Amino acid sequence: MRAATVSIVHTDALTAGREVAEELTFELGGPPETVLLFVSSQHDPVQVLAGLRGRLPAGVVVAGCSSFAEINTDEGLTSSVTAMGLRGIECAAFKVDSLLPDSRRAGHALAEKVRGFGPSLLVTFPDGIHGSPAAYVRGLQDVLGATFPIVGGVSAEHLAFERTSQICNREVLTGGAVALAIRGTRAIATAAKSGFRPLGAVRTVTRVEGKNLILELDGKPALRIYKDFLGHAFRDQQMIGIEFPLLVILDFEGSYMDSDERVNVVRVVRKLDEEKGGLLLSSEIAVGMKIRLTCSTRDDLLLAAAQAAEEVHRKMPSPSLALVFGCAGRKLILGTRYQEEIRRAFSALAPGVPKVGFYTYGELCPVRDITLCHDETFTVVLLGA
Amino acid sequence: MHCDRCILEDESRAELPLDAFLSDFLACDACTEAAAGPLALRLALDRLRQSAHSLRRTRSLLRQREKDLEAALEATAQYEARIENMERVYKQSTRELEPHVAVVEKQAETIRALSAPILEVGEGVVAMPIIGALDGERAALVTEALLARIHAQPARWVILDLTGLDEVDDTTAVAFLRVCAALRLLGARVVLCGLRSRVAQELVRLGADLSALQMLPTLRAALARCR
Repeated sequence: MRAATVSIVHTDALTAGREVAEELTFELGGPPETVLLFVSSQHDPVQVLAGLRGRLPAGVVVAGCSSFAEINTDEGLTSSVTAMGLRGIECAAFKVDSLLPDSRRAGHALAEKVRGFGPSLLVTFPDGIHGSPAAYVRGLQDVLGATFPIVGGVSAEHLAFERTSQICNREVLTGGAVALAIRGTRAIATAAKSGFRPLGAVRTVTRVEGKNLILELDGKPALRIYKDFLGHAFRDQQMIGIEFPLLVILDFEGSYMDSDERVNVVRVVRKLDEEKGGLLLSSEIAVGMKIRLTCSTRDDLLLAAAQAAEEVHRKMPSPSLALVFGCAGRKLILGTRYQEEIRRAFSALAPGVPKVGFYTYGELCPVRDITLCHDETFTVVLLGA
Repeated sequence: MHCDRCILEDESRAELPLDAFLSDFLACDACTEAAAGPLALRLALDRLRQSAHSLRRTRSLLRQREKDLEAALEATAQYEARIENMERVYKQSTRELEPHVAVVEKQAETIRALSAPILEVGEGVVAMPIIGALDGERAALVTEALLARIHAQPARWVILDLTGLDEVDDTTAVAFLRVCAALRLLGARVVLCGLRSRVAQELVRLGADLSALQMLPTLRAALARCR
């Protein structure tokens, strides 16, 4: 297997797509057979794809999505088209056009298509604005099995939370999901770390509207509790929910806990609902779940990224390639230090390993063999030869 | 393959900006004419191709650095807001956890008091049961409590009930004997009772001088002696 990653920053989307195709061909000594494509949301993905496909043979498999920022072998980029080209690995791209009205069913449908291909790994990029990536993943697991390896990232954009794109071969979707199925026995190693620390008391969710709007915690208005902590005058409401996400102790379907402790996932507060006095989360929440407020320093985040890379490196010291998915929220908190996060993580991995990834609206990574949808993590996936 | 008009032979392209020319040139990656040409030409074209790729990437990197600079300026404003938020959060978190800390501190105080209880068991007679292990910290606590009590309210007899004492080491044995000496200086006579065989063996092994102390097997015997 051969892999190479290139990034192009260009004002013109069509040119950027074309140049990416040419650079990949140059790096690989021939056109790639498969392309993992991450397009800054500042570019029109249709134009990028047209430019790319115009310079590649017809049968090339393309899977990818729009991103908040992109990651290549060396660093993070903010307005690029970044792609990893692959040769000598059997891949196929699948899609589901919409995650609505039932994201779990959509996952189910996509998995049914994938199953015939006989994959050993699924790298998927669902939309997270209109659908529920967590439910989508459970739909995939319904068909492929709870412990089937699924990794990836939730498509992102520039925090407008309006529209993300998924790219599947010759199509650009919005509100759907794309999955790159990889065939053949291949070792994978994964790790996801956040670096957020719990703050204050454990609270119980006592009232929820819909699937993800928390109205009450311990019988009190959720927004008031949150504001009591953070103050009542925010300069930037969106930023506050990213900087101070909730830690949710998972306790839904499946055994996501071991004998020592339950699995905790970080959930971004996507919106403060002033009218209803609630907190809108990025994923489902249910009455009875326990949550805590969290916060983090930049050093905590940097350390967590390095730890994720160290952990995954211990599991697989000589991988063929690395996929990296960092939460958009982390990049916001880290500001310009986000490059440091990538540098520290990459320095823990074997040198010379081709890497690609992006800053997401959610990371898909197994925890104790079962893939979950996380927020605010730095996730590293290594693929063996 | 020979294109209708080779870009290297097309004179009108001489006026093209370098970027545009190189971009067109990089698209010529399947030129059979060049591949069949003389070695020097092939090598020159190959080097030109490499240079064009390198230039393209450098230009791309330059654009990225310009973006990075813009982002750095934006980030400065965000940092200040974040510091404000962090200060508020830690203040509130501390406030929320303060009652728990107070409870823990109160419990620790109670445990400390219970670890050195002084009981008035008769006229001029006080007793202190010592239960559990007597480490350096606890030996100091026992000493402090007893000396304070005898100083404030003199007693003729001090009974140290060692029935519940698990073990004693070199340091605590020395500390313990110093307590007894200090009590005697304050005019109290010290009676040890309930000594377990293991503790007795340890005191003997350490060569402790117990001649000035009265030793009795049980608390009842000690109380009878002090009446």
